[in-house]
Amino acid sequence: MSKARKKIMIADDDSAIVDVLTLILEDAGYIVESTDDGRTIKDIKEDCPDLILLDIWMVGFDGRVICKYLKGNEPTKDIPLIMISANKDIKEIAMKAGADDFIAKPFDRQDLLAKVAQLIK
Amino acid sequence: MVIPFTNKKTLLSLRKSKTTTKKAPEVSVVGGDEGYRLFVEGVKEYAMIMLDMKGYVIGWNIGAENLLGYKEKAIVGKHFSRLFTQEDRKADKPKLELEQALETGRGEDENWLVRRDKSQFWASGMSTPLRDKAGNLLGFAKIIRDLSERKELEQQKDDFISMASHELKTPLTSIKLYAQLLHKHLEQIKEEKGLSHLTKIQEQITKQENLIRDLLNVSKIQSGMADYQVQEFNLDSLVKDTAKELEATAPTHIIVVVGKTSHKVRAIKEHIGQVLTNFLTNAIKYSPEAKKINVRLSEDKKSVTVSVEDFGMGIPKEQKKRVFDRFYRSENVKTKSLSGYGLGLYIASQIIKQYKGQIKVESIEGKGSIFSFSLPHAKQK
Repeated sequence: MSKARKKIMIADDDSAIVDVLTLILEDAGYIVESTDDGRTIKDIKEDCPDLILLDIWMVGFDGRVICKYLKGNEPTKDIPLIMISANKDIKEIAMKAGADDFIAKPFDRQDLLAKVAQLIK
Repeated sequence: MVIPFTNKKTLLSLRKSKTTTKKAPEVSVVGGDEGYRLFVEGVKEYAMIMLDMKGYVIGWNIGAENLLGYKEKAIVGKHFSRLFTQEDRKADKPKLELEQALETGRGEDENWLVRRDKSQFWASGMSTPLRDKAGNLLGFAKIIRDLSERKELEQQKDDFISMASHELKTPLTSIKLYAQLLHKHLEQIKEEKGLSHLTKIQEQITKQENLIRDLLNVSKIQSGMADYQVQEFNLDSLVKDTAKELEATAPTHIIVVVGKTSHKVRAIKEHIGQVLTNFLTNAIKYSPEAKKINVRLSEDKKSVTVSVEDFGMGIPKEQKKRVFDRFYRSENVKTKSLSGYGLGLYIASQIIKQYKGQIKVESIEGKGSIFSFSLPHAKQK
């Protein structure tokens, strides 16, 4: 990837998921940051990522609430956001929360990269 | 026309039409029908309400009093729409229900109803038109049953499925993604043998993925349960077998089973086996320094009890109550970085509750824990 490298923020509290997503996305040429704390993601103010991958079920945090917050506030409202979930109703949940897209567990590497590439243009 | 159920002089009696069974029941007002009065009054679990043609209450039994909180005197003469939520009243549901009853012979639905104290409950209701011999409409009979408990159980089931879904799919997702990354890497370096093995692994991942999807399909979970049967059995052999099995996988510990029981319990054996396995694996996992685990079988007049005692790290007093909560993990367990999701004991407690049993924990931090469950005796039929 020769163009300016894009930055992706992963918010998930499962360390294996964070690790493997980081490997996949870095391998695809992205810069990756991650957090397992729902609070830090809400505090993004400067140096915004180009895309956010958000798990809707983090212990102690409701991804839907975080998504609505990010989509309703100035520095973050235009950052593309993809929700990740194992919930069978993820499509509806993501739409309601204002996410740009969703991806259901268990997903494929190719699906993930395709969705990311489409939104991060 | 006010016809209280308790007024002997003006009692209603219902008789099926002699000419056709499809026709609505006939109503006649007769005096002294003691049997019928006792019948209506005796029904305490169901609210039985008589409405006039417009939906005003003209009869109200003890079941209705219990369920809805209005005494007969307080409600007779009032419109039955007050039993509906404001939302349903706005949507004209009370009127629609009676119209449906008139059109089809009965109006049936499940909805929220409002008690006198404004609290709500989930109810199943059925309205039937009442006609005289000539077919003239006299009013409606409405029967209501409280379904709150069922509604709550359904909610618990849904919660459980969504939790299980998350817990099963998350590790599978990372396994699948690591495998795909590895596949890409092995292709790049042309590692044929490794690729062939990895392909086998990936096939199995797909199989697992399908299995989980099927498993989580609610209807399949239910029909799948048909393979396991509720049966009456003695806990002793199940306890001994499970202990032996786990001892074989954990050579670090000796599991000593003492006591015996004579009463049988009634449950799905696999469920109880799952609870025992959970207790014993926890006992092994959380007592790495100890060598022995005690299992006791006992019984009293009502129930059979199994307790599993370990001599491990124990649980801090203030956290004891929460160990059966979903996703809860005791602080001292977390700091010792022992793996786990905080699901095992939650599932165990759900299983024991399902069979109307009790699950308990006694523990002293630093000394060990005793987890136990009791199940009621199987009733002899």
